[in-house]
Amino acid sequence: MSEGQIKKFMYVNRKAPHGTVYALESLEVVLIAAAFDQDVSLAFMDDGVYQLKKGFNTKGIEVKNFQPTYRALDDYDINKLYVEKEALEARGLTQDDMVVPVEVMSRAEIGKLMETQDVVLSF
Amino acid sequence: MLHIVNKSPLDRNSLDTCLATAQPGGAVLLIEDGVYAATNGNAAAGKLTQAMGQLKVYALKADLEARGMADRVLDGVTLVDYSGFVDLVTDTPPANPGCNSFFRRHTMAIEINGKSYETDEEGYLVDLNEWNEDVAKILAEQENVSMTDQHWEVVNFLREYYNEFQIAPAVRVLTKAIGKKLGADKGNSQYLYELFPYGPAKQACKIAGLPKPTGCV
Repeated sequence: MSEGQIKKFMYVNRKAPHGTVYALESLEVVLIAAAFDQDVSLAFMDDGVYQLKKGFNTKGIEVKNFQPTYRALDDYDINKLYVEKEALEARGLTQDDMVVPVEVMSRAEIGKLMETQDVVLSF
Repeated sequence: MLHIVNKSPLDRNSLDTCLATAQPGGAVLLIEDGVYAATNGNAAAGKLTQAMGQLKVYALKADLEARGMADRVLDGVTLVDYSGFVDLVTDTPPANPGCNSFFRRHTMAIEINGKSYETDEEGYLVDLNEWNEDVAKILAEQENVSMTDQHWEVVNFLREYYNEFQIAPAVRVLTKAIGKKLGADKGNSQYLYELFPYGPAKQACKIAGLPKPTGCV
């Protein structure tokens, strides 16, 4: 792309998958925006941590299973994925339940990281 | 009375309101994001367990499976399928189970040897499982591409990629991945544009029976 300045983008995901379209829309925006070669990170907070819970089987609800796509993020050079510790705990989940490698951080630590961003997009 | 909750207990207060409203002997059916309340370790699980003393709690199995949560359902919750859902709503056996085709798309079709293959209005195959080499040849003809071994190599690569990641990759990612798999002489956009002049992602995906790449207009 252009020789423009590289900005720090953080996409914040706070909704469960399937029940609303936010999770899928966010993932698509991330993939599209990857073309612009910016410094991208993804944060999963609140119910957003459910997006990465291993083992989706969507046959019964007849929608596309978009979970394997998270594994393609690395191909798009997106490898900074942060997951909120408190959110995992409130949902009986652990780092081992996550479908891709993530860094688990406290809510406060994610907050500090947010402060360092140029752009924060929340879904 | 049957109460249906379809919102996550940690995102909205629907479950709280429901539990406060439902009368003893009633039933609660959890569907969509509502099913998270019925999973071990969820912060709302305690409330639900407590309510089970007075209410019968059901959860839709397909929604648990879709969320990867079917292996951690709270004790005491009864799982139901779609016809069980209908039974709960009507309180009688379903007269006509399995009528769940809600949507109709605008489609077109291509014909090969008497068999019809549905495509969307832009010519992309609707059901990628129907794809075969004959279909690919017809789709290629429509794109004015005559298929060579080099074309097949890219098309087959795309199908494998889709199979693994459920997306058609962007050109940049395709180029890089092809370079890794098939060699640097092929992993560049000039090579791919020579094979598919109107856009490798778009044309090769169409011929491979995949949906249009994400972000492609």
